[in-house]
Amino acid sequence: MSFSVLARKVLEGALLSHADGLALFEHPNLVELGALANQVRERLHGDRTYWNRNLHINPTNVCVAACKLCAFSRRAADADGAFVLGTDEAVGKLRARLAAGERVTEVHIVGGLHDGLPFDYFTGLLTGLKAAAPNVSLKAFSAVEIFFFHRLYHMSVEEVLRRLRAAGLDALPGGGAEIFSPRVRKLICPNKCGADEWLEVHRTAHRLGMKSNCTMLFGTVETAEERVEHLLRLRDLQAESGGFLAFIPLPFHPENNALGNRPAPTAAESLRVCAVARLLLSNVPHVKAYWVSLGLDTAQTALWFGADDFDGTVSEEKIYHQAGARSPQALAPAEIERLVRSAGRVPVERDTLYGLPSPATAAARKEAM
Amino acid sequence: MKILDGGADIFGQGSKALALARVAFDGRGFFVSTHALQFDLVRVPFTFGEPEEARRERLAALAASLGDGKGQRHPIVPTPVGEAQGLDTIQFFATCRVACPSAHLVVDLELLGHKLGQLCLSFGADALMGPIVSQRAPRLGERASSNELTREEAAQLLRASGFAPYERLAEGKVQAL
Repeated sequence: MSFSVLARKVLEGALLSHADGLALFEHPNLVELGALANQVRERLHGDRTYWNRNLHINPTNVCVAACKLCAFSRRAADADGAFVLGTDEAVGKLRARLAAGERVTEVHIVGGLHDGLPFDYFTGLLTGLKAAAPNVSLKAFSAVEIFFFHRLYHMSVEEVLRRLRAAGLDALPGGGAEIFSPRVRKLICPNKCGADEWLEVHRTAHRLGMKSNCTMLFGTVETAEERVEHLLRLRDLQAESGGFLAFIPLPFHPENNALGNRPAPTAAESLRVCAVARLLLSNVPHVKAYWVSLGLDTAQTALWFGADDFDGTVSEEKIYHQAGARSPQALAPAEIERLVRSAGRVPVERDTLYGLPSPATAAARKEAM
Repeated sequence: MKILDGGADIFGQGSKALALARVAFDGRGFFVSTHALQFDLVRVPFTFGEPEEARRERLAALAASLGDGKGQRHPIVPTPVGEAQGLDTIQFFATCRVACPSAHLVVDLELLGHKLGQLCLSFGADALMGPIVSQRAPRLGERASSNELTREEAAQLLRASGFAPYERLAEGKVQAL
């Protein structure tokens, strides 16, 4: 199918097919593809580029999954570099930020699959953080972790989610989706839950009224067909449940892990995935240029290839940096705003659910309209 | 189409620049090892935040001095003064290509890094320049963020941007990668 026919379908709002997705991945002119994704982005969000003030906390890096793509985890609790964060220590990280006069609107929590911790550890973590800052949103535990809790603690997925929610959980992050293809999962993360389970956790969360994000890790061993299938499964669930807020393309980082002999996806490839995702995921409101993973230059450029969100201040990101990410560990709000403005976009601060965290943000949104 | 703060139209200018590069070099993209430079490079400095008009005037003067379009294809290397900014760098490459349609527009990978450097190939650049090694050490420990490339990795960066990869050798010779 010619690109002009595809472009017409996009501009008419027609749903793109699997074959259309493949054609987009194979389209030789990246700039043309980006321009089309940019039209959709601007139709949805104009110049607005969202960001938030978030803090990352990784409770533990002890993990039984032993994924080949991971540079963060340790197999055993007594392995060199293994850690489990005490609840007080985790809450202390948040308190320290607040005591320094920083505003934080979200704590993002993901960690390893540690089979030696009680469920109370996780509920206690949420309760402690919520007690320290009741207005801060807790976006915690990927679907892989939720499914692991279900197996380890002999509770249904729904029961796990209900109990975590009662302890303060507000939303789920989108990690752990990797690539849904069983062939790829068997090669890169054979011990993680499968695609059906990952999707079922999000389906359940959405049914309970929670919002979540979704992701795709690309650049390992997957084919273009497998990427398209992955994106269309996300689109199908979104059509059913409507709970995804943002899609986040995650390029594989090859350093310090068992897949280290593979080249990382190039920046052009990252922009291509970003653009194709914006075009295929027509029912997912936001596409995020996660600067930690993409790098600042590519993330800035991605704001013209379909992305409308720059993620946040982050601080203390460990997972990507141990896999060789060269981006900074944190960005100050003023630096995010400068990067977004110098890319020709208007920065708009948001909270976890893409609401307005402050009157100043409302003014910025008005400016961007 | 939207006009950026820097005054360049990212998609319009980028498409034109990319098309000029592909046509001028028959779809070939080049890799130049920094250890084997046998020809003169012209550095073209640019600074983030400088007026677009000043850039255009400087590039027009450069094009005139190179006699661009009159035979020899000079290699020019856009060189950021201070920290390179992603989109600004991409726009500058596109502006260079439009101003100097026949020049080899070379990306200095040691200055721009692999990611931003490769993106410039979609906005007018037709050549990469950087340190080459016959076999890269595994990306572990202190070498996790090494800038070195093997020839195959360099070729992959060019291929992924739609160019047929070639290496520039001494005395104007080129060799398929």
